[in-house]
Amino acid sequence: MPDPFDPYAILSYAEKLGVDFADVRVQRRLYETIHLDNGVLREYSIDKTYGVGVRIYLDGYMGFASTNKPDWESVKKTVEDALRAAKAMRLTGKKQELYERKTNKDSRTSAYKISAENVDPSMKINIVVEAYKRCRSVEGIVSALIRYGYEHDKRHYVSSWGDDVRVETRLIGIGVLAIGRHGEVMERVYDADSAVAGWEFIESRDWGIFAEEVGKLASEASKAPAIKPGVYTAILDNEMVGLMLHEAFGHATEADEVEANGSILKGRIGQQVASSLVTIVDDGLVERGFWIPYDDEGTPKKRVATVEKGVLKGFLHSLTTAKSVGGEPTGNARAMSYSYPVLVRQTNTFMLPGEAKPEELFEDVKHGVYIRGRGALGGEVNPAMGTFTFIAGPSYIIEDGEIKNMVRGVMLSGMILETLKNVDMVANDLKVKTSVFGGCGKGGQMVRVGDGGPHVRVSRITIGGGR
Amino acid sequence: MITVRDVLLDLAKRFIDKLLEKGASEAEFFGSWARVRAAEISDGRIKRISVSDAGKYGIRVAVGKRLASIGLSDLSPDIDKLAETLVKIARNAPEDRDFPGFATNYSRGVLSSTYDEKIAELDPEGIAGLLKNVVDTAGDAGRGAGADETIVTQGGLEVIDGGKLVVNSFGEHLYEENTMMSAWLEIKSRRDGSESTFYLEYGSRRLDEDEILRETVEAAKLSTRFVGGKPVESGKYEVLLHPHVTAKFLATVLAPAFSALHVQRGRSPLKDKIDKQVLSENIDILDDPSINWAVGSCSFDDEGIPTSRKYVVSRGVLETYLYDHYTARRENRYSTGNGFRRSVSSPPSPGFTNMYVAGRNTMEWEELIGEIKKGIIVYGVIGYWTSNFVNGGTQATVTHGLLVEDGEVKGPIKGVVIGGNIYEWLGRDLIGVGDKVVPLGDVHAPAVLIRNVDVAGR
Repeated sequence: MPDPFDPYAILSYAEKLGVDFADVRVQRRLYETIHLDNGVLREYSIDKTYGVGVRIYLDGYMGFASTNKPDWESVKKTVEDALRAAKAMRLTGKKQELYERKTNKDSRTSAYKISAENVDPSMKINIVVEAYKRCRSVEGIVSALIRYGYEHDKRHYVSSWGDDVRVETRLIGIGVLAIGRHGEVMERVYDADSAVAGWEFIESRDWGIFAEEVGKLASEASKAPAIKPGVYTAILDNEMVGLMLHEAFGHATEADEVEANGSILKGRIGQQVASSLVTIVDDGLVERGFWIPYDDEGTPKKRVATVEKGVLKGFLHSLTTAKSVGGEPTGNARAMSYSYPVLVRQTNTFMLPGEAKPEELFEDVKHGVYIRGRGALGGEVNPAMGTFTFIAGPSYIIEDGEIKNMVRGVMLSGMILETLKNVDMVANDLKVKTSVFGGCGKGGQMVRVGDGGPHVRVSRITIGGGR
Repeated sequence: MITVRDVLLDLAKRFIDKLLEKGASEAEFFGSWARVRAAEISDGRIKRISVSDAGKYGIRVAVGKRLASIGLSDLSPDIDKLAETLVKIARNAPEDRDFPGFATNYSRGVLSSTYDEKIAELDPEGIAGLLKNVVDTAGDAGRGAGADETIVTQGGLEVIDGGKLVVNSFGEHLYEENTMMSAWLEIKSRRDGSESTFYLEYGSRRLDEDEILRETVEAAKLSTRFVGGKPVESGKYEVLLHPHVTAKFLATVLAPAFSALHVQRGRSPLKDKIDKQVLSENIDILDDPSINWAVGSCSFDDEGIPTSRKYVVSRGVLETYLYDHYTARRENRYSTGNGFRRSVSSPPSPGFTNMYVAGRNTMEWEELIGEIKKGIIVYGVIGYWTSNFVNGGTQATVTHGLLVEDGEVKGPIKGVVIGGNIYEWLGRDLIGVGDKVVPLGDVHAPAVLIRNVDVAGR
């Protein structure tokens, strides 16, 4: 039986139906999870996905359809569905053009030494069991969950322009959730470490120590007071800077938001939108970030500076937004899986390092907060209202330049056009991080991202939180 | 043509037979399928219509008390090889001494309306027409409320017909079909050169065009009200949460605390609180799978156990936790029919069908506003999902708020953090509860007015 998801057979069927352009995305993905809950193996599962998505253009209208039914009749029907969807837009839809770039033919695989598929399951279980024991050995820890995750994703893109791009990625990591209790108060801390790599990443470190550190932090946090709400001078560590940039700026630079009239940054290219110390980059190949050599339209992912020395330089683009908003495709058209159409998404968002040593940022802070990323839960933005928020892990009060007591439940809130203008010092230590357990959500699609930066000082930011 | 459901039923039987042959002592198959048609809006116009037809399934297998699972969307799998891998992983897994076997005695509990033919029949042209009507209605309503211009900047409308299927190696199987319509719209209004937005989320198992249009009109009017929002001074305020905002907090910070799994694992603040006062006497919370057309309504849970309508909190007193088969057997009781799966391959864990929250003594919306001395009406938040169910810590950044002084609405607010603890908010700090219970996803909640809320602002 011929492969029903043969992209070239699908492409030629689409062309036979008389479309102006078609592209086909075939995806095979494996996701392995081990989930140890309070010492009990709650879940050992392997998820496998295999399917195809087809996008077609007819008279400037776009239709998309997908299936995982592996018979040629169903696949043909999928192509016809995509065409019918495009035709349904003739009355009410918006025409879109694709930016015509040069054709790409390439096949790339992320670096790895040992494929985790070939590692015996009992070895993986041993790692999480050991991590669990070490986490629970910490005084005050009443509950702990350890998670192992491994993703092996193979994507094949072909288009009527002659593109043929294959990208194969492996992402692996361990996550620890520890719950500490002090009297009646409980607090949770979650942290994970992941890398684009194979099993060798798991072997490269002692996860027992990692789990114990998370446990200690949770135990300590359960004893810490909530922060007093107000406006503070804040020093953000590497992880928090990444989170802030992703929310505060990243989303508003996605050109589909701009095209929709949904971004507060529309029409501001060339304007000062941040302090002159701030340069923000989106890069698919940075060390310790997620790895994206090509996007899901077969466009190479370029390193783009969206903000340079505080000035807004450009947006992140797909082939359609490069045409409608103006710019060049940047390789930021991404889909969660074969069954979703592409959206404009960030890859790895980070701030370039400055010149100060991290400790110099603290020196003249009279009263402030050292905002820590370990245990942070993430953030969210409303790009149209210009408001963003992000949530730190257990953090520390700074008094007269010294790091003092811990505070918990720290939620920061800012305005896209104001907060980054308040950056008054940038350190010289760059770190970027990604995760196999999460990512960024938009329009119902979750994609892997990375973010980071150096230590950064913000002279004024609103901080509150639960208790 | 063969439907995905037929394919799944056939796969279930073949997988279970093969697993038993390879040495599994029992097995459970969970499948779901969905035919999705969706349209997306950009800057007031439809930019894309997409269609998908897919099924996925998970198989859990036990060798004695050792377990493993696999999730697949591959509808032509190599059954022999996968069954062998799965049994091998299970054999190598540590024992779960509490594993009681997979759930049995499948049957249906309450029956409610969950399948609307009109949704199943809606084609791409129909969806495009409906969405255009929604967009035009938003524009008219915004201008009617005084905006110079109102557009739907981004949005989408999605209809699904699909279902779920559960089968075990004891010869039982059960399936249920349902439909779903959901819409989200970011509506932006401009007045005198300044802009503000409002975000509408809508979901129902039936196609009710009038209802969607009514909500669109409401949201479009609201989109004109937040022009020029800014933070207020930090301090303690009274806060009135719009029902959708209440629902968001409840889903994050309160619902998980009722899970018997979290209770048994020592991470729920409701542990050891059965028959105790945990919320204000004015609050009732039900698990209600019987609400017609509600998103969480179903006749059996994800392990084939019948669902039922029950009080979880009555007059503020904790009546029961929610159980799946696993957590119930640990306490030598029956499942409450609340076993739901995060993904097809995950084990079930306890959760609400529809979480229905209501007050015993209620007030109208205008009355609630009239009670406020110095406070904020919160219509929109971000970051609420970081609220913490292990301790009740509740927090969000306000994107859409209105300042109220002595019962009178003053001006718009944004960019402040509201924080506190849900057990205090719905306990000693609860001032009043709204009379309308409004659905958002599977949480049905009223407006609530709370005192002593921490506000971080200027």
